Amino acid sequence: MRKYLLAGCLILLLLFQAGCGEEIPAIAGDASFQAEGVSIVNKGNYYNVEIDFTCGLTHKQLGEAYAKGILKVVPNYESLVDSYIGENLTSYENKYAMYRVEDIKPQVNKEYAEEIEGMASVFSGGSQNKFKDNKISKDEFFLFNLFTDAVRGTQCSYISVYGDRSDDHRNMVARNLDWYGGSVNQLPKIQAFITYKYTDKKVYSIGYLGYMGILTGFNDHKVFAGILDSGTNAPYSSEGRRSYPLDLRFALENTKTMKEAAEFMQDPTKLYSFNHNIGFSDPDTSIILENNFSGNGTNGHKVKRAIRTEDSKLNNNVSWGIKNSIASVNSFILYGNHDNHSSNKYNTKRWNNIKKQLQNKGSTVSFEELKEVACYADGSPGTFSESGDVYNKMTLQMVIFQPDTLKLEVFFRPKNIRKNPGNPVFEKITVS
Amino acid sequence: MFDNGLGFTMMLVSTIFVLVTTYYLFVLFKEIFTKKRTFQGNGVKGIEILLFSFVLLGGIGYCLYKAPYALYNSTWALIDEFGPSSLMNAVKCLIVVIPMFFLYYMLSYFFVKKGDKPYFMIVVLSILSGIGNSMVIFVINAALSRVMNDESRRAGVESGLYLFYILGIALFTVSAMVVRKKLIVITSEVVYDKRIQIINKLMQAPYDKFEALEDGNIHAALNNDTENVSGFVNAFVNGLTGVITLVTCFIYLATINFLGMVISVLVICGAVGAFLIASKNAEKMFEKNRDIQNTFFKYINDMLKGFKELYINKRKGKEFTNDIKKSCEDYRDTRVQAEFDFVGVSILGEILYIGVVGIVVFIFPLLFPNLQNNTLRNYVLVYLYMGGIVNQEIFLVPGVMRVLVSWRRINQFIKDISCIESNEKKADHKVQNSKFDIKVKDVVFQYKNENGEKFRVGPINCDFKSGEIIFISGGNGSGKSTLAKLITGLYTPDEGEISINGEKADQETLGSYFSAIFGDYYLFDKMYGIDYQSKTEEIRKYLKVLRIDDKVQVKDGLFSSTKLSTGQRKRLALLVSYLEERPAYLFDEWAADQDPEFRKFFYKVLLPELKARGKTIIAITHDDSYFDDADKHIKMETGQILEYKVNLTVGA
Repeated sequence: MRKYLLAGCLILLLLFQAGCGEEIPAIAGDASFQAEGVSIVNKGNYYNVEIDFTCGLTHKQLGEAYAKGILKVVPNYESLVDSYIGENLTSYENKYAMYRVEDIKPQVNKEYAEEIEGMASVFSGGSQNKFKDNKISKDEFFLFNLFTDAVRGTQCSYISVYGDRSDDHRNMVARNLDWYGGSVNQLPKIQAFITYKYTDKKVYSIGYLGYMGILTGFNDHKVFAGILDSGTNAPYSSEGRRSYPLDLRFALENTKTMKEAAEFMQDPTKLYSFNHNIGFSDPDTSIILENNFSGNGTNGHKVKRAIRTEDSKLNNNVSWGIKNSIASVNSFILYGNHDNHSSNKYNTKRWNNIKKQLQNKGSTVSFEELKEVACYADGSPGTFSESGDVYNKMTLQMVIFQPDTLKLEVFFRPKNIRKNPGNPVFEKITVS
Repeated sequence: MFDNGLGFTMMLVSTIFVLVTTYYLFVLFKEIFTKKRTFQGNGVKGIEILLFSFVLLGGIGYCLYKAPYALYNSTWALIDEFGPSSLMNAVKCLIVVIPMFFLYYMLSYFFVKKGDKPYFMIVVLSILSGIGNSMVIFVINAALSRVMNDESRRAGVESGLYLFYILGIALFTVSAMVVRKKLIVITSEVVYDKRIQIINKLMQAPYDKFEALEDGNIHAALNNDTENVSGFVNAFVNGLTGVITLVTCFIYLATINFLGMVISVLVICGAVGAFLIASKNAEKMFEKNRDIQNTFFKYINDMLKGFKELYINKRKGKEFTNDIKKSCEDYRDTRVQAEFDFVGVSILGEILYIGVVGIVVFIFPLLFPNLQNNTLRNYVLVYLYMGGIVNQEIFLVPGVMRVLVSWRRINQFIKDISCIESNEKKADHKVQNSKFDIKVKDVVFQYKNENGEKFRVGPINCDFKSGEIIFISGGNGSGKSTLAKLITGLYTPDEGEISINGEKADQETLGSYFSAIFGDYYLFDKMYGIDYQSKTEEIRKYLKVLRIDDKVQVKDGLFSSTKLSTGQRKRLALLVSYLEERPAYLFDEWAADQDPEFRKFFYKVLLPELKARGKTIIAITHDDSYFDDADKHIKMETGQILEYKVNLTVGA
């Protein structure tokens, strides 16, 4: 009898353990890829990508070349991306995610759409959107590029010190990207520092291979930006909506100042599917664009898309009070904006921790100290939603950047471990 | 390890639960190995239960595995990074807790112990039932949030949420059913135990103390109160399940909006308080109505028993009718008032939740400008669901109170009768059937009668020998019956002593010498304490001698009927007394209800026959024409022996 019971318990335990993740074997690719207009170099934890739009190839051709390069350096790229989509969506969600893509696609900048289509043409999925088939179809690749618009947003932190608070009086920014990396580290396996090279400008993206929008990026005019999702539970709509990471890329490519870039993203004619914040920094200061285009604010009036500076009046129950600095988590705090902050522990804990850590650094903060604030984890990184850690279990990237000097250090989650290390190692990236 | 207090709490609760379950498992194993529990396979039913249990367990396992997908459209890997870590902790805890409890349940099901009272299991299953109950509404809410969106119309099914809905219903029904069955058994056992305990205590009580007990108290303790206690099953299962459901619902509401939950709890507490105050008034009025009802029933009793008198005396009848009419009116008026109050209370109870829902709909949007539509709808839905449960809980309160009152009364009654319990009963007294001499020396006994007047008997001095007939006579209240009760050991003397053959005798020893038929005797329809199987011939003979053989037969110690005339019943009692074969007999005015012929037969034939057999016969009698047939005649007056006469002519 006891034997049977013991066997029953073991079967039960196995049942609980079974199927907890689809294992995708790590396949080593080429160390680098060079082709006309495209260069990819494996830097260990990330890929250094340069896409040269001056080479004479069309955006679509460059897209094709880029995709070929990706497959050379990451041969299982398709299965990584496909399985990543599969992990983020249920089968029934996948159907309507595709409808959302259809809605947003017409508003995507034509050249960007061509790049994505060019890349998709290289992948093996064709036009068949088969869920979890380890192949990327055209729509699936659009979905990957419109992930923040059609599936789920990013969860991030943005901290900046400038003026007298910065030890060299130059603006410094720390930006953490908290995003699900995938059960087999799909995203860390394709993380990249991408340079979009144009005749007269350069735009840099700290993102992922094949991801053409800007999650974190800057241009050669030293305007830095990072997106932060800020959900308000407003009903979702994709009809006539645009993609904000792709628009941000456009803004960085086509504006020269932080103000212009913010105004571009604030344009009331441009509607997005998810409410969000965008942190902007230039050599002198930083601002947060609270881009809320739905719902009511705390004073009962229609909320506005507005810029928050360190002097802005904040909603009741929210305070900052650290001069020459600004920060943002995934919430709106500007006075009169929808309050998705005070009752949301995801945000309040992190906000308070950022404040506390920054205050602990004294009246001036150095580049290394800012890094320490970004790395705050109260021991070991905990879960995103509950720990309040700035550096948490979901943190995939930590970008520390000084716009004026283009000094850039990035922590990329190591490719081979899912659990974030207790002591994150930052890579120094030379911006050329 | 824990990102928040919830995770720590869950782990702590689980650890305590695991420790407690381990303890009970250890006890269970010990009982199995010491053979206190025996295997009971229950045949096909046992196999069905086993299979069903595994199906349920498999269902729970599958739902746990699918929880992130169904509840968060997510995977375990994402939950591990994003949270809530409480979900991970909950599942880790459940993976340990569920199989352990399952093992405990199955072992206790198949290894049965007589009189088992698995309170731990009952509490756990009741909690499980409550969780299952509330799980249903959470799943409905989650499904509604999805299916109301055009994009995800089929999400309720495709996400697998419906499995959680089914699991919730299964947990609720199966747990509630098991708990009910177990509690029915336990409560019946408790009622049985309490009744037996009361009966045993009563049977051990001295007569004088027993006599002092109110009949109503004994009836209430043995009947009403124990029956009330059996109502505990419903109260407990519904009550605990409801409370757990409410607690989980409030936790759920707190996760949606904490402040909203706090306000809701305050509003509900206020509303429930108002309900309870209102219901208390109604209860009071019902209590008053019940008192009047008792008076009314007394009038009915008077009418039935005193109909002859009321019929003959028209004036008496009219006055009585007026009184009963007045009682009827009072009953009607208080009932109307109580019902009116209760109507108010019922309606208050019914609108209670609608009112709370109204507050949520109208006030919450003002208090919480950021409240989302989904949140508002979830609140309303949960409140509507909780409404029925809260009402049920409120209406359970009077029932629970009654159970508690009855439980306390039973225990108090047992305590009371324990205080008056006599010394430990001796086993069987060896009664010397040879010659004996009962001496009453300076015996004094006093008591208060029904009117509270003190009455004293004694000091009494007399003696009774084997082979003697002693008559005791005297007027009403002279102390004859008290003396009889002292001699037979029913009363304990306050002073003096009664001895047998020179040795002081206690009450039980005295009692064991006597067979008695008191004036207020009770005739059982069974011959208790008589070896009737070996006395069939004797029974037949005495039935004939007593001339009731044509009225009563005795089969297996049972009388075919006891619906006889008073005189015949006394003869039947005499038969029982005869068969008891005690050395001494006490007859308290036995012959008073007999016809002259049989009376003569009693004094002239039966008593001498007993005397001839060496028995002592003490008869309380007023039949002075037979006084000469006694060896001794004791005449009593105001508690004293007025005359103690030895008749030397008898039996010489």
